[in-house]
Amino acid sequence: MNCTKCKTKAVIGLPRHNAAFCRGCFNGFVHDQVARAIKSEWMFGKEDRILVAVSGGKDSLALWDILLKLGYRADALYVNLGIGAYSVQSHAKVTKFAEVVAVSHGATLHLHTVEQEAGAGIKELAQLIHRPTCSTCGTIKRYQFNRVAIEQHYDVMATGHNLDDEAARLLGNVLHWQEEYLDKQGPSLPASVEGFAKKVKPLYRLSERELAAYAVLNRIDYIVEECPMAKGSKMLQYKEVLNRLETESPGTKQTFYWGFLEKQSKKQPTAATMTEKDRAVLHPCTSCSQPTTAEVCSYCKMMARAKTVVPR
Amino acid sequence: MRLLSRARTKPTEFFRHPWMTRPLPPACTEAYDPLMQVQLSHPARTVEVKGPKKVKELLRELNLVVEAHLVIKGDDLVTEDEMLNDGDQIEIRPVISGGSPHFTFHAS
Repeated sequence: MNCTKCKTKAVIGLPRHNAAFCRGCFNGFVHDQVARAIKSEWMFGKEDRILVAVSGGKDSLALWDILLKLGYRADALYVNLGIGAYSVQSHAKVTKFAEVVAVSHGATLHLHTVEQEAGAGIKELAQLIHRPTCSTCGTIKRYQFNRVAIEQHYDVMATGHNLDDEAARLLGNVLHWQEEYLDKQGPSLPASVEGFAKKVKPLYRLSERELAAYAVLNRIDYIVEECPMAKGSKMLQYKEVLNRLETESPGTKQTFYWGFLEKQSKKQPTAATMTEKDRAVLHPCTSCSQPTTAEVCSYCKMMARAKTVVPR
Repeated sequence: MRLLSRARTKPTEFFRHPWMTRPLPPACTEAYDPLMQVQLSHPARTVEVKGPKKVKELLRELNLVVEAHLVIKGDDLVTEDEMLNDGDQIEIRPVISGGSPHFTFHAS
């Protein structure tokens, strides 16, 4: 198989684009897709300060790498969740990337350790509040990324969600008719209320396989092991189903998610309507001032419970 | 002792023994062939596969979906039509990750 652009030996075939690329042309393709996502969704400009949420996985490290190479001012935040050896390993990968690649671009890595604040890791916290581990993880990450973005005056927060993540989440929401979540499935969400940072997903045009290939080809040392807490999760099942469909019929995931975005953009959510909706239901948490629908946000409730139960 | 002294005095006769000139039985020859070493994850394990074989044939044989995996030969990423041979060191790396369906951007 030869590269569609330069005709040399290809290293990856992309059936959904009916193309194949060599290493150089593939890097160009990935950078181009991210640049198109940033421009078409008005995510950020060259002067904006970006906070990238990194986990040590391929997507977030690839995102940080791409943004730095495209010349953006991108720092990162890593949240150590305290999942035994998995967290030790992912922390080491992030630190290594920051030292080897990011520092040379003048970027900074921020760290937050859950155990230092809560006195327990994510698994223990989840048991304490009787919620699934993945849901607890989501609450903590959302809170900490938003907190750092606001406190350190970042213009926008970027996550490594890719096409597979978004298509799988859309499938889950549609299967359960969770229409209330559909409005916020776009790749760019405005800072709708005071205390919320603008959030963007610059990788939404790239598949998980394309991002893994980018990481391998650019020698990005990421954590290949699956998070032990995610085993058997619904998201993984949806991804598996979508990948089977994609293999049989290339372009399925793209048509599904991009088609949804197109319909949504014609239907309603302008930034204004989303802002109006948020302002109607959100107000500052009485404990930490981050926006919440309740009097005290779920993060503060979780921490209060942890402080009463976990011996320090 | 007697055996040792025989071996020392008549080494050529020992190596010309007719048993050595016969071809090895099929089971033995197979054991010495350097098969393709395929490293898999989740759980981490190595399997041996007989080549030559195309990447897509190898994935099909192992019941793995192309869209969810990358195939790395040595240090290089390879396409689905690449031919893999006995002795090659192959890694099949899964690309799927993720947990919470609701790590979305709504308020907590």
